[in-house]
Amino acid sequence: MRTKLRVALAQIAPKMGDTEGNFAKVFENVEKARAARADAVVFPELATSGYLSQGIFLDMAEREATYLGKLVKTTRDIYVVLGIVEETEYGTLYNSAIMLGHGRVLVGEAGEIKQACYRKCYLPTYGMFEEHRWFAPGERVPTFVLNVPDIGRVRAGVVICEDFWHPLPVAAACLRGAPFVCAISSSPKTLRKPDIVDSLIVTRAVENCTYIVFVNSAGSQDMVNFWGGSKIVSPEGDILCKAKEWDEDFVVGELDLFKQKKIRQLNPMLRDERREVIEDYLSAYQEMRIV
Amino acid sequence: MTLRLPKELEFDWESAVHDIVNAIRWHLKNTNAERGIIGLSGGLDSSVTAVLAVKALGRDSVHGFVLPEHGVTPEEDVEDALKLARSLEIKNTTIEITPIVEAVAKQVPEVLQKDSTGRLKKPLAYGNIKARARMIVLYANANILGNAQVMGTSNKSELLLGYSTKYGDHGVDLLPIGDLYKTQVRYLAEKLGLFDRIWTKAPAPRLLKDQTAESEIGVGYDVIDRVLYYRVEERYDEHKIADELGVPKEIVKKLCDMIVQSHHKRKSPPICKISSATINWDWRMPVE
Repeated sequence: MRTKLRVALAQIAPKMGDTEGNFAKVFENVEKARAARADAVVFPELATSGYLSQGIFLDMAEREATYLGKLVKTTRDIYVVLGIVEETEYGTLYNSAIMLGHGRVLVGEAGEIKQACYRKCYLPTYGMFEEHRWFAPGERVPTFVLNVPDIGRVRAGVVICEDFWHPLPVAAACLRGAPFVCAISSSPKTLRKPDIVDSLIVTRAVENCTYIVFVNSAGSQDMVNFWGGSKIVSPEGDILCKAKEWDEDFVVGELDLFKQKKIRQLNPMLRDERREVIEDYLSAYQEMRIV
Repeated sequence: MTLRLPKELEFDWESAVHDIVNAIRWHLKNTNAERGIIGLSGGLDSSVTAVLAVKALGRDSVHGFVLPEHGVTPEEDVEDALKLARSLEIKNTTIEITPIVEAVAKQVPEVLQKDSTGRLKKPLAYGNIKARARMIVLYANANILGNAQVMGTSNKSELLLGYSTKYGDHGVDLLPIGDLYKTQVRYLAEKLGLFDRIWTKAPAPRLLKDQTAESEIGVGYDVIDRVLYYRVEERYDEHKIADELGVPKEIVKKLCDMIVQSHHKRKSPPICKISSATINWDWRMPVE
């Protein structure tokens, strides 16, 4: 048995609306990950559509279906975390992360509730962002059970970009038993980024004693740059591996699950979480809404 | 001479260069374009844009057009434009716009009418013809060369004040330095090693003889840019800006009014809504 999970960071530059081209990059990187003996490969937010695709989102779910079916079949021996546009039978769109692996689509578990994808909970709709125009928000943070050869059952958490600007989603995934959380992103470069994002993901890793697998888009869409810089952050806040900034890249890192468990024992942040404080937080939130 | 920026406008110029170069490169790739076309005035903005375009695309994929007007464009501007093109080793072509402007003026003679003091009655109408003539020449050449994008040279200060000609210098495919204030562009020019005369000469649209931007607006860009910064980036109101900067209220008001009055220049023309899929209201699509 081994304790180290090998995770590949597939930092691609999606082109808006180019479903065929974007999926070609997905298939290519899955093959690279397989060749690198990775257990899982993680792609950025909205990797199949591009992030600033506006009205194209409405066409995306139909375009994705064929490729996702093919992708499931090719993931016999590897797990894939992929940012997609999810469409429900009611026609509602979500900015989601699908987890495929070993020939099937994994179902997320949030207590008794089952959910096919992770749906982004916090949809930025301010400044240049307009996600609420296109997507409905998710309401929970399911985790996904991987069955990794020579390791066994491992719970994986996923959050999407704005979700890790808030403290709760990563914490919820960790409370549900995830030793690592994939934080997939399409983060535009500004004067304040990447520095502020780097600080946030280190904070999320340390406060939850979890690995953060941050995978960001590269390239540029309508003259807005996506800065790449994907990385794995350890539960102690160290950068374990890092992809190039700006350009497409592919790197593989290892998550030591034994070490992670030990760190949680020595630094029991989750164990010490308190219902009273969480309930008070909820009360404060309700007071804020009333004011 | 080393330029210093006011604290509010300080920025990581190397990072900004990287951002712009990266964005230009991907924009052309994503639009299947092979070359960028730039009108070179010999001034600050077009020179900086040209340098960045060459960094992004390589000298063989950038074509500069020098578009002087006889009797209006100073000789030194043409010299500076050609000197820049030579130093960047980019292909360049000089095309006089004078015959185009004269042809339009002949058909619309009102633009040349003068008052009793000998001044043009409609200087704006006349000046704008020249900016639009340049746009026509640039797009004609873009079409001739094929797979080309016309690169605009407007900076954030001019875009916010509407200090540009709609469908003239505004008629372009991309605006690489459109998120940098004028003083930041000047700072960048110095850092990029452009020769002194380009970044020390007074900003001037050169649509009319001896026209300079700062004399028309009534205050220098060192003041203009700080007012714009506090209005746009910090969302201060006019009174707070005047107090904060110690700038006369009437100047601040004039600049803020210019922003409001030029909203139309920064947007696509509004479309009368009839259907449930009106372009730009309901039907929203990216450019690339």
